[in-house]
Amino acid sequence: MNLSSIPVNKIRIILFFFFIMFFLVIVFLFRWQIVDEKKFEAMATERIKNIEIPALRGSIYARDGSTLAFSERRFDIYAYLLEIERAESYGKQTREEYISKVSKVLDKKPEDLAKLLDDGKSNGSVWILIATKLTYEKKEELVNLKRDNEPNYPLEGNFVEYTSKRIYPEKTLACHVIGYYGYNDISQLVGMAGIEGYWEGSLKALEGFQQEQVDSFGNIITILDFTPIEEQRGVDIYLTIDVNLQKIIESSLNDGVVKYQAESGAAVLIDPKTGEILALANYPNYDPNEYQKYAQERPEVFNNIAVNVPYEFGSVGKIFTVSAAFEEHKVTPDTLILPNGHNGCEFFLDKDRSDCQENPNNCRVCTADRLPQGPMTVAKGLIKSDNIALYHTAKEIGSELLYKYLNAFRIGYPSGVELYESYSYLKPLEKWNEADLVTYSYGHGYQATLLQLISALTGVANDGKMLQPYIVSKIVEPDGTEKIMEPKVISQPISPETARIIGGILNQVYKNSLYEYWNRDLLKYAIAMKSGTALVPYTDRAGYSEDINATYIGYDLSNEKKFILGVWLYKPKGTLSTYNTRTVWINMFRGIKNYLDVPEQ
Amino acid sequence: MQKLVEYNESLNKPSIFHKIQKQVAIILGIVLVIALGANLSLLTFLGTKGDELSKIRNAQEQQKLINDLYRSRIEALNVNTEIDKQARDELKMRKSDIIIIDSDNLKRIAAK
Repeated sequence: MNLSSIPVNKIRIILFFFFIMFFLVIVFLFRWQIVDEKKFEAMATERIKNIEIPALRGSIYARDGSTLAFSERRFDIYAYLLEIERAESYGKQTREEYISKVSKVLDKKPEDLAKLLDDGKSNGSVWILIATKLTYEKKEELVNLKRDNEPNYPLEGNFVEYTSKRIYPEKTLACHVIGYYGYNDISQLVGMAGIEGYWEGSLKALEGFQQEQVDSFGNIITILDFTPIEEQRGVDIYLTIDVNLQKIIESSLNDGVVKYQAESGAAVLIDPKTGEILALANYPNYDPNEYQKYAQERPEVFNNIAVNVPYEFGSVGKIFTVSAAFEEHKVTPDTLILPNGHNGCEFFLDKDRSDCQENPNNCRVCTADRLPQGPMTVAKGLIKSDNIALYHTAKEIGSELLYKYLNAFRIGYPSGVELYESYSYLKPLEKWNEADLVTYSYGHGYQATLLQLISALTGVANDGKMLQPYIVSKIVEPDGTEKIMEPKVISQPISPETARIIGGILNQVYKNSLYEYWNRDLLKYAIAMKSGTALVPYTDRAGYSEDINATYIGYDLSNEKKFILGVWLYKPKGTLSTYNTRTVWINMFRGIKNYLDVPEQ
Repeated sequence: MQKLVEYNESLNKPSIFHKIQKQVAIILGIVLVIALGANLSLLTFLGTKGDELSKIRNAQEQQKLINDLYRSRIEALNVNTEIDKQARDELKMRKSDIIIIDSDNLKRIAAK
């Protein structure tokens, strides 16, 4: 085309046309962006769909790989009133048809569903929650409902939202270890207590996020400037808990607490060679599937007292005193620590002091039965659990060394287990008074949880090496990466030789405790045993009540060092409380010995 | 007269400015046509891809749901008591093959 042949006027008309076009564009842009900004912004927002991509919480498995907790995909169903009304006005379906078909799938009465919709409408809602936590099959049944007059088209008005249900298939088993998944004080669904709570950050799923633009027909418009965030399943956690051992321990503990009318009880079973917690039980227990029922009626059952309640365990602490004395070579098992015996009580302060005359019990140490005894060696003192013999043994080592060894056994420290735990500080040495060396010598005056106590005693049961107790053996990431927990020595308070001597003395305690003929068959096992009894302090004032904490510990003395087991009954009733706790321990041992293949002597 | 004719001719003769105006008008026209065409084809292309994407995403979502479903079914079966029961009832294993029962408590558990 020859440009010079186009008349200038025509070109001016075209340019004028372009000018008008651009002017109109500016006018419309002004209208869209300034005048009707809100309206178009709302329309644009409707075209952008933000989609959360759900993922499931990680599972919890026992030592054998069997499932202790898992999450199942479930669905919440909402009725969208506007869509139901619109579908009716367009003649697609009737409200009655919707109610009839949906109520049948949901196993509801049609009148109940109709009332639900009416109530929602009268409250001004357009989205009405009509079913929660439906299974996949039920959800599929619901979304595949068709209209009567157009059988190829789905029934309108239902919207599906993803949710999940946490399932604990073993119910009460190991409930205090596992914890539960529920609503916290601010209505957030989180892991509470146990592994569920402590490992919340790892177990919880990370929801994905995706943004889509749709056209006015609702079809997706591909966009290139947004990368979806992938959802991520929570990690899977494998425990050291052996389900069969846990069943045995729980069953014996439950029976013992009920039979001996204790307020509660706890038991801990550890492999002393590795520190793996094979069983950890508390009673009363609960079913985490129904945590809400317990939260309302008996919230105290959630407390894992084996790791959360430090208490005075009494004479079991004598093991630490004697271990320190042997390790420091201050005494030997045959040292005649009480050459003249005692009269049942002995003053450790001047009995002529005025305060001692007023209240002699504050100034003297007595045995449990307060009966006189003849000359006594250190070994015999430990076997008879004689408080006065232990006081004299502690005098041989002094406060500083006793304090040093209690620290070496990590009394006053958390055990470090991967669970929420409490601990009680050991009083600093500079604050010890005249009575502390005395009371500490026979295991009174300081506290630890049952788990901390058993953990400390792995230092004796495992040739002087104290193992870090642990309950999580393996973590498996969603991509299959595994992290395996390894045993860890955290302290070496005594030598193997001292541990062997202590074991020999405690074996005699075990033999002495099997005096009934029906327990004689257990004499073939090399077991070390020690009991402890302490009065329960008042919670609202100073002093001690008549109730007791009764503790029994025992461990395998064979070279295979199969187990260390501790049992604690809180406030058992009757004069034979300590005896009864021993029965609970023996019942547990009978249950586990063959399963663990504990060697005979 | 000659001057008048020359003047009229000079009026009809396109100036540099007129030439630029013409060029701009043509370029704008071409750009407009290309832009409209490209826009239409892009939207058409994206529209078909969007439809495909919807189908793929729906299929992916459904697959994830089915995976979740199978996983939870396996988890529900992978329960110690369930394994125990199946071993006894279906595989006809003896009790001692699963767990050696020694105490009264265990016998009670087994009886439940």
